[in-house]
Amino acid sequence: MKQDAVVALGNPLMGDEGAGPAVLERLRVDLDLGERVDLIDSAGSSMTALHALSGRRKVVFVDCGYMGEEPGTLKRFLPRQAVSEKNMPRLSLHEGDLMQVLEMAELLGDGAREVVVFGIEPERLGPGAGLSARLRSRLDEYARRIRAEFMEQAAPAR
Amino acid sequence: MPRTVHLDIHPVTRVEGHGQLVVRASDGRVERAEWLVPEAPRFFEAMVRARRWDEIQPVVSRVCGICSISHSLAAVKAVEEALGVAISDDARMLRVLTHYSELLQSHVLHVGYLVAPDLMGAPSVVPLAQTNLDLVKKVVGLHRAANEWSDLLAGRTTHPLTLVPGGFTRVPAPRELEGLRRRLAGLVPMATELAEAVLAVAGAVPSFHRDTEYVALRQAGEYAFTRGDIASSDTDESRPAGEFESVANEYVTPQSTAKWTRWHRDSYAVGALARYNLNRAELLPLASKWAGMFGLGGHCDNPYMNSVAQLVECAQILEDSQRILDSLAGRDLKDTRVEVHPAAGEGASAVEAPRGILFHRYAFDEKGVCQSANLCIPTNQNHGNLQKDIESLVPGLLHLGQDEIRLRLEMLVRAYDPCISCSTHFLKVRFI
Repeated sequence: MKQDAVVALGNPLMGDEGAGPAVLERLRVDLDLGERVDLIDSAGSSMTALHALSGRRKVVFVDCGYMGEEPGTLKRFLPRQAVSEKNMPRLSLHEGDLMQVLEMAELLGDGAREVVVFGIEPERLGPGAGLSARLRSRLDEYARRIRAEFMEQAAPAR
Repeated sequence: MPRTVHLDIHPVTRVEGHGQLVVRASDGRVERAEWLVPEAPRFFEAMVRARRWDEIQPVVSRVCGICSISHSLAAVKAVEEALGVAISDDARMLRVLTHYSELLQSHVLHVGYLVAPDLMGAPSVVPLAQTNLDLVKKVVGLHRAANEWSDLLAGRTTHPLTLVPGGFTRVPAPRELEGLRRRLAGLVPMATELAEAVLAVAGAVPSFHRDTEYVALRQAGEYAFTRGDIASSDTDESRPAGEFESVANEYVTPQSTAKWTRWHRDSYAVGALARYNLNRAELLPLASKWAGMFGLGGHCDNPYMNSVAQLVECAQILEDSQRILDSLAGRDLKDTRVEVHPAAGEGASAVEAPRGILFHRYAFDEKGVCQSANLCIPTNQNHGNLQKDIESLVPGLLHLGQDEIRLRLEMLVRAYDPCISCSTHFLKVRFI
């Protein structure tokens, strides 16, 4: 296990919901990054995300998110800078909310020392594989921003 | 006191349907009590047609992210049956161990994350962690260990890589199996503390009994998970996996896009409680002790106790895994993969997934290309029974407040541990 990780969340069969895994695939071709950082596709599993935090120095999450921004916007934030407004019925293990996972890791005292979240505002959510053209055209930019978290001096949280 | 109730519990979901509960009662008379399943069909049976015999497992594993090992096992067993392949005893034991890792993952998550908050009066596991931190740490620790167990045997936590027709693509080294044996021995005290914590609040498990037909695998001399015939609590008759269609008798109903099933009655139940009811005589000592501790005793027809049966199965899994690992200890495992030659044929299988008995059937042409497939999953088999439970339960709840009725019904749905469909997982945040 490496000290740092990028963890992607999302379902690639639901349009822009798959933004996280799509960015992760872009990052996988970067061999330098792969040598230093674990690249983890958490898919739909909040528990995988929770376990990925354990014992790490730094974890960067990338997830599709309703943030009130223009579709396609990539926004970097720290967990303390946002609160979840997601409502879940708690009927199924398939449900997940990253913000809740982060809260849980903190409660358990089992989180990474540093956590950064990159949210990508969706344009289209719904059944069907593949991102909207707007998000697809910006994948390289998203990957660059996330790579910079590890390969260059991290930008301060905005 | 006669009550008027209007409940429409439709879980928030953005792209795929979850289950929906609708209850209408006026002046103490129930007008409507329905379990609706509006999820979209997923067409896996069509996806595997025209695929080769060795392409089936990677596709059908994706039916479920929680039960991917069960689907993989069902697929490779059915393919082996169709192509006339017999695997070695070592490979069979490793498959059982692999399957146990999934059962433990799933049961611990269900009991620890979804049921425990109900029993302990918490809205979800996060507030539960604020009041019962040690308990939640144990749940997370058990789940993490089960994940790593899957990683070792299946190649990764979800969607196994090592399970193929004919056996395993990779088997752990003896030292890895010894490490697993030591790790599992250390999990027993953690699991016991989880069971004791649930026992302390077991009084919150609703008491509701309905005479029910239970269906599960049965194999002489073992608590069956991966082999045996299909048995019913209604009769001594059992049927081989190859006749599963005559057990499930799938049919469609207007209130569900999922097929429902029935055997000797209008519905039947599958899952941990069904397995317990049909196989409790085969429980190993620790599991048997836990069953006694929870008062499960003989036949149990309280569906809320399914979660308790899952806990009992956690003990069974840990105990039986130790037995298997002891028998494999220090041995250089050989013949864990036999050669498979494509041939025309048809085969079916039955495997106990965490949520109940799972059936797969495939037919191949002489080149080993799939011509047809039929999958019958546990949650589908439970839908009809859940409906019958709701019809029976609701009239006795009308004296309660609407919130309490809602809680009891949601707890009933959760007790079945439904795996209705995969939903989305995106963020929805407000910046502060």
